[in-house]
Amino acid sequence: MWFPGCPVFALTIAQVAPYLNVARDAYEGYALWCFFALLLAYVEGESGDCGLLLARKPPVRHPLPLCFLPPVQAGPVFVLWTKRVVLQFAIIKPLVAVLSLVLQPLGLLGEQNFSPTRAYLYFTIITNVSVFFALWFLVLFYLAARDELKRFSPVGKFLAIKSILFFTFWQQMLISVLNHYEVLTGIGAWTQREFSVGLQDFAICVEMFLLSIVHIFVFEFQSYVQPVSAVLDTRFVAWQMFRPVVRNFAATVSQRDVLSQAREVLRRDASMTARKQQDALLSGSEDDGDGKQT
Amino acid sequence: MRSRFVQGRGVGIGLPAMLVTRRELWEQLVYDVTGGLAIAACVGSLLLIVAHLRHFSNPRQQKLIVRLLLMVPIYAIDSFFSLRWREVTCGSRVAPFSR
Repeated sequence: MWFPGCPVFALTIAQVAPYLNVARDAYEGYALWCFFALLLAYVEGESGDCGLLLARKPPVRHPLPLCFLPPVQAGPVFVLWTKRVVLQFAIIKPLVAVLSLVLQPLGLLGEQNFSPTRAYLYFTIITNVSVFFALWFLVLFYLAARDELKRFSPVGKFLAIKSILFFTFWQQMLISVLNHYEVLTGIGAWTQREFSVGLQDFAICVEMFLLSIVHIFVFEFQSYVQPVSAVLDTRFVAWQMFRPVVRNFAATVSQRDVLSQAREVLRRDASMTARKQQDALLSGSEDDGDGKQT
Repeated sequence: MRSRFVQGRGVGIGLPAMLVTRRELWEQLVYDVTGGLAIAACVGSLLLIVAHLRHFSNPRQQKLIVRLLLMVPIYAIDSFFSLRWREVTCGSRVAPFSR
């Protein structure tokens, strides 16, 4: 397939390439959800419910640009809405990607062209708003659960993920703005458009290389290493080392946990249940607080 | 030169491609550097993923960590492909779904 000039490879790429871009965009939303789920897993630890854990905390004040908004009481309702808002981004992002793929050959997309008669402008606005809300709720969640998350150094992980998501995002914005004002020009055999997209791809490749190094320290595996309990059989050593890797990878690829969480979050009565939980908890904790204060 | 390139000749990475296609040097250099970085990023993050999967003591957390780590190869491969076969992904010369 890699044979020079082999038409099969070029054709395969030609068919796969547009979908690869969609897959990348879709994975962006999915990754943000996974990051939030990881934070939840850290907070909850071995057992316990995140909402109940956070309900005992004082209300969270919004950070600077929106500090005029009333403080939010962390608790089951807040956690449910954070889940919903992050999930909303994980749904909208792939949806926009698929719609762009459909609209582009119809000539309705107008990529990197902020014309009101083309879809790209509206897609950009929708994605921006969606990203903003998802990120804002993540920040609020982090502020609420700061103490629980402290020993997992979430800020490094946040930046490691955020830098992928938002470098690419702002790069794209910057390049399309530069393109709009026709700052970038074609070079050699490359058209202006190819050059601007290629610039972005090049930047992403460099960033991915740097991030793969950063990840070795941020998502280190050493803390998960446990003393070897079973001595490997001397026969088939490679297979015995290889088998758990395959099994665990299958467990990772399986999306059952994500789907069940999403179903739980999107259920109609989820809001009611959370509200009830929070009310019960607040009335209980208020009594406790009074008891301690007096 | 242009038509030869569009035909998709050449491997893309490495010196042999220079013998096959007549590209400008800087263009070949961009492909080589980008491809090298993408391969290095993929290998690095795949090694880390395998290390996590070998010591899978906390499935709930590590499952999510591995999914997050998978982002690096996905982004690297996608970016390299869309740079190397840019006339396909840009849709400037060959529109998708044209065949």
